[in-house]
Amino acid sequence: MSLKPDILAPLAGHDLPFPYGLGEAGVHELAEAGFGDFPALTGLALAAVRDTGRTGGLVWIRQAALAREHGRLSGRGLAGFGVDPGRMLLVEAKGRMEVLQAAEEASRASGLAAVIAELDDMDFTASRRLGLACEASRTPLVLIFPHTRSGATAAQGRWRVSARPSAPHEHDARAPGRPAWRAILEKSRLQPGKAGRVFDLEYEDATPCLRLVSRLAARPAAPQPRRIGAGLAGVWRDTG
Amino acid sequence: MPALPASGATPDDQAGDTPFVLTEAGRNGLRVVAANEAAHRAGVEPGLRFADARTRAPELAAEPVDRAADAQALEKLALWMECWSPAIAVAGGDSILIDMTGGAHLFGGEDAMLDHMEARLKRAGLPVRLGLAPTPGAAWALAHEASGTKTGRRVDEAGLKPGLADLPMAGLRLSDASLTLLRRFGLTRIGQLYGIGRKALARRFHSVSAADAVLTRLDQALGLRPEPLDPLRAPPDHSVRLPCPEPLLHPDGIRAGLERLAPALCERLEAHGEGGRRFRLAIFRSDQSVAAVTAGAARPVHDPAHLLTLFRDRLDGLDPGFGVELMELEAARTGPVMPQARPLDAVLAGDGPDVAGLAVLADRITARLGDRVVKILQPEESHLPERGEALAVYDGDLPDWQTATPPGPAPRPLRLFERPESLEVIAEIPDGPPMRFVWRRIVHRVRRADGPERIAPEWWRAGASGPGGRRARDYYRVEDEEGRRYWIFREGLYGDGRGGPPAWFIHGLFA
Repeated sequence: MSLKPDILAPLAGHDLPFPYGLGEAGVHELAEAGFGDFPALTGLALAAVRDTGRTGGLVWIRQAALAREHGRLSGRGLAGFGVDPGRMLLVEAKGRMEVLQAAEEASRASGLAAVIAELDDMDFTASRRLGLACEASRTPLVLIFPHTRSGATAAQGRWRVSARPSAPHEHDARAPGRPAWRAILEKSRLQPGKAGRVFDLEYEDATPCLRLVSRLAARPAAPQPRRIGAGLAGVWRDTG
Repeated sequence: MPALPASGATPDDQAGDTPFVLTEAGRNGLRVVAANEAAHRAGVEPGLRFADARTRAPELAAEPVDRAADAQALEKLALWMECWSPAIAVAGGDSILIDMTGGAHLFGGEDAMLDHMEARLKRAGLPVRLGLAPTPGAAWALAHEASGTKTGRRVDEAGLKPGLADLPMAGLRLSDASLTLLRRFGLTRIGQLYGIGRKALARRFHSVSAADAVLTRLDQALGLRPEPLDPLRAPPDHSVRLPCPEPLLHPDGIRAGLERLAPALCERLEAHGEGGRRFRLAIFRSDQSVAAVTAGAARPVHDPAHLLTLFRDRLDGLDPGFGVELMELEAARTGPVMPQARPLDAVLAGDGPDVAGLAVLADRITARLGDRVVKILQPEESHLPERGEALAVYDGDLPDWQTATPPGPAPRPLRLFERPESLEVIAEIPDGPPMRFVWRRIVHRVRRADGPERIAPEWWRAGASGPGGRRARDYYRVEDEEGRRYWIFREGLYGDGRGGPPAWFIHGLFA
């Protein structure tokens, strides 16, 4: 039996645009580049999930130890990011095993926008198991790992993400500008040739009024390579 | 209503042929508080001094009484008796009251019922005395004092008054002081109270309340005054039972039993148009013990398959022990089951979460991880960031953030610390943003800063203290050289007259 999940079949072979299926159905991994990049991961995961335009509930699973280290999600912060906290369920798991159990249970459910789970590590078997759970429901599962994450995975890809100094704010040169991150595509099953490429990303800060516009904006029929999802939501620059 | 005095001791000690007593240290030395049959025959009665008891029965064995353990054992036994009736109460230190109203025909009559109970408990090595009467008070009197009198263990409505007349006064559950007083008047039988005028009796007592207590107990025994039972557990809204012809010994049997109980319970719930949010599966073992597991659902459900999912991982906690005789599945916290209508605009836009689907998912996660793990972010009316929203346990309703007050134009961080963490800060000017700060022993040089955003303390809150209690906060959005963005604040200002120099804290992390 091939280890490659069938879910990839319809996508394989096509030259996918950036971000290569991140946030779409299947298991995706995001890992810190160094300690302290967890908020950048949080932002990228939410941006990717949001920009797929999938509707439905959002399940966020967190591991107690990581939540202590990096804080919990803030509802008003989410709202400012263009994600409605009113459609989000938070699952507080104690250990890694509980996170995996909850993630598996949630990935089996259909009708969810996405499942996002924070956990410290997992082995190949667990990643394969989660992949199978996602397969039937076609639910996206984004896993967020600390910088210690390494090793084999059955996920569709792994991104190594770090924060990047932002450009000056457009109205105030001394203030931090839009969130900026650097993402390295460490592994990819969909686009193995693109592995190792570096992407400098900038997220267009969605203010409440912009959020409304982006939601109403029609998705372009053929996504352009350097923009993802709803046009206003994010501008991605590929400098790799 | 049979009352069962199971005078506190282990059954093995009670049943033997050697006289055995339980003792308790009193003001004048050890006293006997309970005695078994053999001790009774030797003339040892509760209340006797231990030294006197020993002269009457030289081979007397004794142990100190452990009232806490006795109460526990009695409660455990009472819980097991739920296999006979749902309304069980523990009365005093040695009795259990069971409301058997309308239940006798299941055993084939009242006598047959009493025989069944007595046999069942005797087999378990519990020496019991039963009393059945229309009122709890009369049942108690029969069970405690009827042995040796011509009133049997059972009286009906008509025989209540004459039946109780012969019993000793102690059957009325009176205090020792009242009993002594009544004995001094020559009143030793309950029937002697019938003819005495109430006012006349009240005058004999030192206080009105003491006389009232006697009359209340008399009225309760005769059914002239209501005495509601205070059951150990509230009766469930709906329950179904599955008696096992042969005691179940294997956990798989419990699972199979649940698979038969769940559809039966759901059928009953559905007939009422209701669903349960709390389910309890109890197994009654043949050694007079009960074990139970509970499972919860976020919204009322009456779907057997979902019910089985809720219990799937919890049945392992049920040990069949020496065999399961009866299984019971209860539904509590019931409510109407109605499909939650989604707002029309959300349906049209194909937007908005599937509320029922989320509730089912939450139940599945709760069934595997345990209660209270699925939460929601609830907006609160407060402008302090840590009070502006709360993590609440998900109970089937999603919070409404559309109508929540927006915090203002300044951005909020994506991740928030439950408790702001302390920082060491070097600032360019005392009231300006920091130049450098140390957080978790790492030095961060600030490259860009935005702020301040002032958030005033909630002075109207009583006992406001600690960070954010009395001093204003100035929040800054800062970015360090590596591009990480932090939400930090200075609590207080120099010379604001509310404490020492201002302190710095980190409260959140921006993406």
